[in-house]
Amino acid sequence: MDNYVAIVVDNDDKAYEGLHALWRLDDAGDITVHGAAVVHRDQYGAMDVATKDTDPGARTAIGIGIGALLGALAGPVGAAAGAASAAAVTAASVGTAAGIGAAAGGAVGLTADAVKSSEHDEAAYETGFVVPRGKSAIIAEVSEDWTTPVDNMAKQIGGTVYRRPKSSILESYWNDDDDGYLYPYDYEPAYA
Amino acid sequence: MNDMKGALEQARRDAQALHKKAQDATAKKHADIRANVEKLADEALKLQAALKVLKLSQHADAQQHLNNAVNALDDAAKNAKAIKTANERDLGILRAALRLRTAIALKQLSRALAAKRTSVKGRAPQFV
Repeated sequence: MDNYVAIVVDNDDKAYEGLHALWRLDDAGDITVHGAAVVHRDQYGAMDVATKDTDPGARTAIGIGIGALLGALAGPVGAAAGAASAAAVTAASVGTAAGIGAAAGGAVGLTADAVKSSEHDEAAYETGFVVPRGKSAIIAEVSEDWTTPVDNMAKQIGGTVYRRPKSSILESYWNDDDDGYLYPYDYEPAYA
Repeated sequence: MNDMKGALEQARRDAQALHKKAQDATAKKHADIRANVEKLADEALKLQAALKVLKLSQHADAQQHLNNAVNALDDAAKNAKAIKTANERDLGILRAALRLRTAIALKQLSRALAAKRTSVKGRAPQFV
């Protein structure tokens, strides 16, 4: 079954540990990871994506996608609120290339490019359902035949797992044609 | 791990390497991008040829994903070749397209691998 998962942990170190552990589960064939990334929400509510990419444009694109995904993981309320309220933000700040699917959390990615504080607040509202202030999370798209491997790994790092079937997100808020939001291999995260 | 599963996992590792190279090559200055893309095109076509052989031994679900990956790699190779002679205006579009195509190819390979792993029965109970 294809799922999107968010594993919320106490700090960045735990998140990095979880990211690498996730890919080790892939190596072992217990799950298949299609992409994963690490995010952090600071004490003021702003989100950052830990990236290895030094290209500002790519960083924004990754952030938009992850923002949308976080909104979707938050459930229908979070995603719907984001889709309605962030559409204007997306149109004004990102351009027409970004679809409505990215709107749910689009402002999250823009933190990397320093947009207005009101947009940060909106992003914080969206993702606060999943990632509390001061916490970090591993976000991933995985195929898993059973949930135990990821659940056990999360337990070992003291994480809380949020999981939604990919099919339920695709139906309304997520555009599978978009790509590049989650790193398709293990990497050493660094906050831009 | 049987040989066929290993071959698919190796193909995904090759696609991951290609994706990294595409990311790195297209993050440079325009002159450097043009200098690096020809090799990328060759590597994309080489991987594409390997996938065409590999898909013959896969079941239908994985085959479909591999077909998609083959098509994406074909597009990626075309994008890479076009970059070589593109004007400044088109370079940005082609650069983004190259990144996207290699990412799609990789994702499709990843899905083929997931399908293959799921088809291996008796590994784990089905809880989801």
